[in-house]
Amino acid sequence: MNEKAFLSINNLTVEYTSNKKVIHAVNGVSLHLNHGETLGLVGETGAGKTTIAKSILRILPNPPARIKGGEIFLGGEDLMKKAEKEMLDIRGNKIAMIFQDPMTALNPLLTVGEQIAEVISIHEKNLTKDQAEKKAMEMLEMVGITAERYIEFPFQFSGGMKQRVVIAMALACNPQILLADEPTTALDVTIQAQVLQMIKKLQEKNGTAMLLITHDLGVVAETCENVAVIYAGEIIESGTREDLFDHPTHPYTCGLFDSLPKLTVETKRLSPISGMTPDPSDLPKGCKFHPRCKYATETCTAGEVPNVEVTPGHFCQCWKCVGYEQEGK
Amino acid sequence: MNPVIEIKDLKKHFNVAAGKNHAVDGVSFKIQKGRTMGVVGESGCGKSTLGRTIIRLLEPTSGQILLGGEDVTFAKGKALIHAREKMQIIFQDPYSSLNPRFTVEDTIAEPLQISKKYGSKKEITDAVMELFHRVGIDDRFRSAYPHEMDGGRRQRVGIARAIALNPEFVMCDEPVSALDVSIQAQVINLLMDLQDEFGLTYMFVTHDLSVVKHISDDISVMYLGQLIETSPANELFRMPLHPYTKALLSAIPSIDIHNGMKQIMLKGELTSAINPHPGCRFAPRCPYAKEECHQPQKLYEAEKDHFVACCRIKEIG
Amino acid sequence: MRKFRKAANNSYMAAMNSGHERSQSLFSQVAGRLKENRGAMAGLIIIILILIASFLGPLFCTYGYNEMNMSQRFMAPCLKHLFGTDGYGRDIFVRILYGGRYSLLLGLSGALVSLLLGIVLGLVDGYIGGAFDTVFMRIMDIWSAIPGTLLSIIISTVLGSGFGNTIIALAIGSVPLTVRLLRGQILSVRKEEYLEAAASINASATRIMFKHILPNVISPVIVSTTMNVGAIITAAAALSYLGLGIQPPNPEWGAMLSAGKTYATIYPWLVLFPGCAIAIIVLCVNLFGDGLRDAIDPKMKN
Repeated sequence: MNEKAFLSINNLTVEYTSNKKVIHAVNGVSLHLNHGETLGLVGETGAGKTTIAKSILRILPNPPARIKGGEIFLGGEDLMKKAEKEMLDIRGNKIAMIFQDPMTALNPLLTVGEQIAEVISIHEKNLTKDQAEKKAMEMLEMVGITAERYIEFPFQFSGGMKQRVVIAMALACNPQILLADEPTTALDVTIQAQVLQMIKKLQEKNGTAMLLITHDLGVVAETCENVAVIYAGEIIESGTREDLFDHPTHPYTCGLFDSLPKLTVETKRLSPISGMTPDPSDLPKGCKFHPRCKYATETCTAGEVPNVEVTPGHFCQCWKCVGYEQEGK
Repeated sequence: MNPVIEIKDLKKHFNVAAGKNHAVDGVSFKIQKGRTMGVVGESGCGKSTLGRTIIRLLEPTSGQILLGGEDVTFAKGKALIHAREKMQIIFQDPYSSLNPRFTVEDTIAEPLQISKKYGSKKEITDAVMELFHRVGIDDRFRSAYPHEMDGGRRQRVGIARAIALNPEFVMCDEPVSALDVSIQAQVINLLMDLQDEFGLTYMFVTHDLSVVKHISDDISVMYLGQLIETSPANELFRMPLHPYTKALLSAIPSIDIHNGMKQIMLKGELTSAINPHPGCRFAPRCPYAKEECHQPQKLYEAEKDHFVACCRIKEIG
Repeated sequence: MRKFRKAANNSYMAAMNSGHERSQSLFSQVAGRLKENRGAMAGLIIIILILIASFLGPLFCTYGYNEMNMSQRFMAPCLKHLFGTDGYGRDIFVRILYGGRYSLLLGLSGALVSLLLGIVLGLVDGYIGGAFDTVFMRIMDIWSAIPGTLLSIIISTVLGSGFGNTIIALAIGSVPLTVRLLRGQILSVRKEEYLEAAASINASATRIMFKHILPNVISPVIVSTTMNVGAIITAAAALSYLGLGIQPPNPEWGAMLSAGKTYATIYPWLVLFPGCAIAIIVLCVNLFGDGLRDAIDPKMKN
């Protein structure tokens, strides 16, 4: 266990059971988040990113989801062992989550102000109604919405504004950790830039750590100090931003970069990763990426793949890397 | 040689409760055979409406649409049927664009059945299997239903349906936006291969600037219904002229961590195209806006083949 | 608004749905789920038994349904007459069997006529929309405001008795419900892109309505129509009871109830058997309808 880390996920395994089929959503994931830092969790749809975030908050629907194993330490305490009552105190207060779709994250029947005030009232019980309202207005101002809009309803806001409200709700109780699940995917690119800048500013001001879940490598490059790449429920590469962007090592990570159309480089044809993401109820044996990997060998088809520390702090789960540490790549 | 598509001052307005929505307001451009015109812009810019109006899924309010030189703006009856066969569309949402009760074979065969191009059932089946092969769908998916396939495959079905009638022009409405990154590349390659093989002409609508740069020969930028800049693709990225284009390009999060562009932050939110004031619709958010920006702006040729609708280009520099 | 990235590429979805060797149409999926519902299957089997009994049964009975025998009037149930005899000495058992034909035929045809009429009106209204829809729905509102039984009575009186006229009288009341259900479904299906796609490949209006829209909106209507069968059977019985619709000597169960009401307290079997028969068939139809709704309903919305 990483002693320094504020949030530590160790060997998390989550399954979904449905129609007698078992879906292996998360398979032995370990992640570490330090105070005030931003960790980008990158992967495609179905890789297990949202499941991890919901596991931290323990809001997975149970059934069909089941946390089969692993520990999640927050400041030294295992969240898996906490009672529901204790989790209620943590959600929204110590750990807050921003969901992907701002259109459905807000209750259409309550004003935006009421929704922010609600979060505040639940966790700061000694505040009066008026005090909670005042604090909610401050939050609105902080995310760039005039306080007069407290009484307006979600339908009166555009997508970008709604997402700001969601962020205000998440940050209202000054959480130590922010889980942001694709917070800007649904937004236009100029609005995305504004929202990301705002999140960064607020983060710096309050020292909030952030786990940013996304599929967009560009967003990761702009906002995250550390990056972890997830494929079929496993972290296949992790390290600092420089490690991943300057020296991508895992064939999947390299494949992702190669398949992106680039603004700076002229290419006639893109190089997509062949094949499809695996069926999570029927994952390949050995390395889960081997059916699509151009470097795959016999070794890759069975057995557990070693997690190699390619350079200090830069980990890659691939047989190909097993020579590297000796070479000091 | 007539361009495959030419639109002149095309307008599409909708009557809404609050007044008139000027969704597409006076757009003009030409697309030559075998080329791709990328159309970019953010929410509410009217790019999807423009595409659907060109292929006559929506009725134009005014202006002209010329298909290979022929005026199809208000075509009816047989002329419209004929025109529609030459202009097809690929949709953004690979689930909603396929009838959930139709098998893959049904979906692709339908345009062939309607057009009566083929006589017998066998001819149609052969043509369908040929299309499967062309777009890379395995034979075993013949009797599959959309819900049994992933997004990438469904999108290939949509593409097969669009090219079934050998159209001249295909409107691609954000065809890869709903797909995962690794699948996007596969589908983009497919679209480009088909273009080379069949000499197709594309209008590629998207909000993803890296994709549009890769696939387009020319790019048009739209903002709230107005065409504000158009030029060859590389030129637009090398030297964007309109302040909005500059802001848009700078806002793209870059994966080049050492040479990021300085982001130009725009103030405010998008206004709407309902009952708009005359003049540039970007003015309220533009850092360079002056009094003359509230006059109607005209698209003029600032550099060779590079058109822009902004009166302050020279001063901004 | 820019459409957000849906789980269109979600391998979970493909995982949940694949694993069938052979593609399953939605119909066969529904049929599969229905088979597992014991109540629905029991209901279906009993209805089929009643169907067979009512058409073939009387051929094997000793007595004809209208065979009168004044010396054997008002006999209580016994071995010779399983359900007893009525005021004319007719065997009630064979009359109940025979009467099943009316209930089933009226119920099924009435529901079918209502369905067909509702589909045509609903599709046309959904397709045209606009001002036509506004006016048309107000007509539907007025139509459905008239109590069903009253409407059936009025139409039956106007048209007269007889099988065909009775079917119309019974079907008419439930048309607005079908129209409203269809319209609701069509409103949500209208924005689906496959309809735009159909227009782009030059599909005619009729093709779009019947091949594209109808199969995707019909599910709730199928359920409501099945439930409607039970309601129509009851209404048919009510009409006959009131002296409209199917008349004596035809052994329609409602007519039998009416005929037996005078002596019901002395010879209870005159009303017991027809009453139970009506209750059983309506129960079975409703069990099946419930099962059908569960089989179609939320699990299909993947």
